[in-house]
Amino acid sequence: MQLRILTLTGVCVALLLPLSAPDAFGGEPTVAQRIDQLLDSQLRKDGVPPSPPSDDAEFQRRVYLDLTGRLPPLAKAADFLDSKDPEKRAKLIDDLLASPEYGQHLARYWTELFVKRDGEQNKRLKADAFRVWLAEQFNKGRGWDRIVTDTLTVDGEGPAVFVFQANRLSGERPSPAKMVGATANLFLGVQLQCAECHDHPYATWKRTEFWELAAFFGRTRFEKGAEKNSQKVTEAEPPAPDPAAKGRPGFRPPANGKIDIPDALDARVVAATVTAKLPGRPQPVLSEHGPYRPLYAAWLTDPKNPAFARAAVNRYWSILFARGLVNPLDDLNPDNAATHPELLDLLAAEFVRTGHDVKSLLRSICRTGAYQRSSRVTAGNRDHDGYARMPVKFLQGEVLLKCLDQALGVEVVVPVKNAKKEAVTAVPNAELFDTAGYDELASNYSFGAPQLLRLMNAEVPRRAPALIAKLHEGSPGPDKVVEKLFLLTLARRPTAAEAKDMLALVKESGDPAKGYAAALWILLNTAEFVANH
Amino acid sequence: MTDTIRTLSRRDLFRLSLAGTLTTSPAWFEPLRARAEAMEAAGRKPAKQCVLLWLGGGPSQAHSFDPKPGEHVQLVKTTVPGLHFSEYLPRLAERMRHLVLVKTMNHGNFGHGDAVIWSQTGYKTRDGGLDHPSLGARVAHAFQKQEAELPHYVVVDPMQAEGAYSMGAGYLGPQFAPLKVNIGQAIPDLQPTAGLTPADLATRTPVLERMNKAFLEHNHSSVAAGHQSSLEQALKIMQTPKTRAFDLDREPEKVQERYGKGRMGRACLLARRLIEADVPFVAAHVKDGKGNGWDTHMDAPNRNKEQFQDLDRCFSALLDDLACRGRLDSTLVLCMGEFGRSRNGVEHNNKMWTAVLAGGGLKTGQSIGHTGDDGKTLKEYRPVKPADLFATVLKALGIDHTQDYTVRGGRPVGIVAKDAKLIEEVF
Repeated sequence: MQLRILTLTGVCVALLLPLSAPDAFGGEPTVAQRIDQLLDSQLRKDGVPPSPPSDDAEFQRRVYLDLTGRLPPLAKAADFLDSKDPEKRAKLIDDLLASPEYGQHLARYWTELFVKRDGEQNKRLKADAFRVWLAEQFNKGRGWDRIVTDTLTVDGEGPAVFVFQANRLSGERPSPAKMVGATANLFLGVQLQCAECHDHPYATWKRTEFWELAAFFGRTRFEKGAEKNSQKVTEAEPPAPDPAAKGRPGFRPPANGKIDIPDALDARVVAATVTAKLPGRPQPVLSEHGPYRPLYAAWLTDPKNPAFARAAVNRYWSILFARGLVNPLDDLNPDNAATHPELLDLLAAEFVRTGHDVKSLLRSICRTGAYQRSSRVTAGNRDHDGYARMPVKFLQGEVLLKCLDQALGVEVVVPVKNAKKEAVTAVPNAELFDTAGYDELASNYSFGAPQLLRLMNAEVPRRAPALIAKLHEGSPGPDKVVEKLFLLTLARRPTAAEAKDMLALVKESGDPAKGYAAALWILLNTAEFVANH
Repeated sequence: MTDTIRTLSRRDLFRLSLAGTLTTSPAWFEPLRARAEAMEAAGRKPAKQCVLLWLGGGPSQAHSFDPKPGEHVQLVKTTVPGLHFSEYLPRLAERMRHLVLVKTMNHGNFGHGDAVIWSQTGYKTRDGGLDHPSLGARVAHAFQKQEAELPHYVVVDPMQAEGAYSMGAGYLGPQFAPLKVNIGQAIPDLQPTAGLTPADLATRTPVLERMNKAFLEHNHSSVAAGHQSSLEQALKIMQTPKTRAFDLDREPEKVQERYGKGRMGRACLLARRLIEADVPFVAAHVKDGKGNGWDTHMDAPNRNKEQFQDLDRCFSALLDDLACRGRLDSTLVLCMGEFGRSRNGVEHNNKMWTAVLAGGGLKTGQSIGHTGDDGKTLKEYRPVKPADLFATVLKALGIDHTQDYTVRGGRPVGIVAKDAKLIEEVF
């Protein structure tokens, strides 16, 4: 039955939209509906009433922030609210997935995950070229498996060299252990890094298995690139050492896929030597000088490796719902069950079937009733965290700052530049509002007094006057200006009470410009502005 | 605020998991209070505040608190028999009875970046895949319910190069991140600017609070609740006269001179003023006039002489002022860098270096760990890890050092590493 529906819908889609690649997620409505069936049946079982659907304003702001990290632009916000098109939500989802900001937003998300706070090592990393490249891949709709493969198999120069630099052991080479730890963590959702030093305490990973994987990166090293400060990644045999050279001998890459396991207590002592091998697979034939990374990437992204798709859908799901189906996101193991196991299976299977198409996955989820539910409390679901209502999410630092730029009418400066220009980030206040280290569930945090003081006293007052002058041009009525301020910041119109409050402020201030500045200041400091609900 | 980062003692956790309610119980435990009560019953009041004097770059123990005869400096007797300081620290030598020296600090990182993380958080870089909070953020988290008009955690003269992770809040979240202040610069964030008068604020805040209240009521969430409490705190900070603490010019000239009018002296003076204004945790970066830290690869003999002489002056002045204000017993001072240096003061040394504790109601006037006759060979093997030191600091502050934070979907992570050992001699 299930199979038949999927097949039929797949055929229909194929017939109707033969050229439209993004719609290849077979039977999308069905997938969205099946997601809802699974979530709703659990809610019924738990006896928790779902909140009503979000209103258009709530939905519009939410889907913009989730898919593009931006607010709805003023020019479009009111049109959407006023549109009578019954398909307008589905169309908006498609428009956003087709916008360049979509790829930029996901590229920001993943790049932050790659730049771990590695103290010494990652201070001067230039992520820009990688971020630009990643954004392009997402925007082109390349399969997640292809993106990951290209990243891990970069040979010579290329944006993905950044990922190796972010996991380096020294200026000479990436750390095989960090590469396996990071990639298993992000792409398989397992905390393999523990097995670097000891057998994993509660999963099935052995220390030797970890190092057998690390061996696929055992020969990988950096070489000077064509341009100043650029590097390439290579497995090529380095020139023979000059016997007369002074100083520490350079790294001599091991041959035939071997790697030394360092003693856990003293890294200078070799505890054992192992050969590159994939868990549960026969010993591969390894050339003398590699590269071996393509074998690792092929195993990682193999549709037969169920962890790859599950880890990916779990992460993308968490971007929208502020929680994974499995939490923590990097701890998919048999003892840590999914909240909705069937749902995880469904999403993973569809992900594989569509060629790991991220856009299709996000489109399906965004079309669900669960995603489009209001965040408002309904009697009986206040403290429930199982999709009865949309969780309120904290805006990550960079997203918040972008939204602030957008609302204040300052042209948004995309902090991603050509690698040659070497400007990693041009975002003012980036450090104060930095949230990259703050764990992964966006429903758990809020900014503190230091950040709010900056917003209240420095950023907003400094930048507001220009915007106010613009909105006030042609002297529209005060109610019109106040409405615009609400649309600009909260993407909705004011309630009657709010409008009354704000108009009173404007009136009392004597000078309308001052009154509007006060209204704007208030709006930008609300919880509603700094959150996505 | 952050409902999911709850502090549970290990016993609580065990009890809860036996009852099978671990994942669902939203209960709030206050091991803190229990701990404080236990301490008071034992006759010792926990310290309430902490100053960290951070000697970033790695100070030379051989030129300061752990010199050896016949090396580079003359030795001076301290007021504790058998203990000597370098000639650069005559004032601190007189105040040794207020100090505890921990001479065998030890960890596994030789490079600054990772050593800074280890020595500021008590954990290795990304141990367990997490960004760990600094000591100050841990204390701010423990004291979050405590009323304060100023932020719970202030960093003075931050190191720009170290970026956001330095002295940061890690997985505890931005609510526990410090307010960072530069010396000698106005703090624009604290004062309403651009024509925003107190009267404006008075007309605006009721509307803002009405909107936030309605939002929270309809959208009950940690995000909205946390925003509201942070906003209340921010508004309080803007209005409290305690922000005068940031203005060093209010201090009599004579006092400013006693601390030294250089950057280091001003950092210490600001730390004292913030303690007086009841900030629970102040981390002051202690640097020379050029903003240099203690990474004395170049010109080590001269730099060590000048910098330690400055430190001698301001650290002593801080101790004196805390003592005469009756705050030394309730304020723990910790002075350390990310590691120490080789005996000539030139290279890094992460195996045997000195951290200094002062005041805080501890049993002071003692030295922990022996570094032998040459400062290179341990007489008895007693490495003290940053986690051991922090466990001791937390206990001194009445904070349960055995408690766990619950992070990332229910994973327990110790406030300090599980194997941390208290320095029992100081209690």
